[in-house]
Amino acid sequence: MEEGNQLDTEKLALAVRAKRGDEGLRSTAEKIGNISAATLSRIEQGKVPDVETFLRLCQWLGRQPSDFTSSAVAKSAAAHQSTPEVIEAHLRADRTLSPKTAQTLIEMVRLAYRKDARK
Amino acid sequence: MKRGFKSQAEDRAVAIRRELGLHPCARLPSERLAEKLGVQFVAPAGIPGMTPDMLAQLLQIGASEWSAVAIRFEKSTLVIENTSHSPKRRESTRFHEMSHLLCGHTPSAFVEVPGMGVLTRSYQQDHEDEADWLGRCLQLPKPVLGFCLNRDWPVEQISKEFLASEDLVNYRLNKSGALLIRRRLAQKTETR
Repeated sequence: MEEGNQLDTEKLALAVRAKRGDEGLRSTAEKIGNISAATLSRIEQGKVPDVETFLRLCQWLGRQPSDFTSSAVAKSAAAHQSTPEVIEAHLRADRTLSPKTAQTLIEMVRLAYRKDARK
Repeated sequence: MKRGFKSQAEDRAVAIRRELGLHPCARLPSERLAEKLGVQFVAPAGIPGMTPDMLAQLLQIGASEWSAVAIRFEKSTLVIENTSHSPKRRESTRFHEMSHLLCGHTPSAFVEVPGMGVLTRSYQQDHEDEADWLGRCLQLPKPVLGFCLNRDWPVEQISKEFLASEDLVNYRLNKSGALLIRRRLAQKTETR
């Protein structure tokens, strides 16, 4: 099995909750910009944000994106065979996903990239 | 959305039916358009290597969180759809995904990014809005709505005939202007 990096959603959630403190979700979301109070709430619950939202949060927190990655062991070495480093795909989903659903979707996309997934 | 996009989308929905040899008022099955665009729809269970746990996560536990993933290859597009959704919802999702192709939207980076190691994706609101609008026009173009209104079809019947949710039917009736035109025509007839 090989090492990989993943977004530590719990660490991100803690940092956001700590910085927000007693301030309301709506006013905090307005300060961050281009994010709804509902999305902010879901991120505080540990959901995976999209790239744009994640980078805005890092800027607001005054932290580097790499501060929120953690080493994780990949589930299966076979899943990483013959896949590009970045797969271009369009995902129609909630703006925030549970980490488990996000991970499963990505694994499914990797599997689909193998030739035998297509007719 | 770009200026003029909405009216162009309405025209395009009619033009595509013509290209496929369909009447402007006919239903356009998503499979017909998929064939033309080189799109293949597949269920998660149809992806070799998917485990029962993965299927449970996507189709039960996390079923409300996602609708589809469209993966672009060199000459084709594979769309993995959430098969736990209703047929009407899946039909709308299919048209949404195909609308991204028709609009020439570039897919977003989706998987792990080396160095940053982030499992996330980009989200472009203007692209989503355009695909939403065009997808809805493709499924229920203005001629279809006029046809149905002229025959006094209730929303339930339109929904069934065109495999569209009642919410979508009501949305298109209002946003397309078809309902307003019908009301004005009815008023003119009454005053004669």
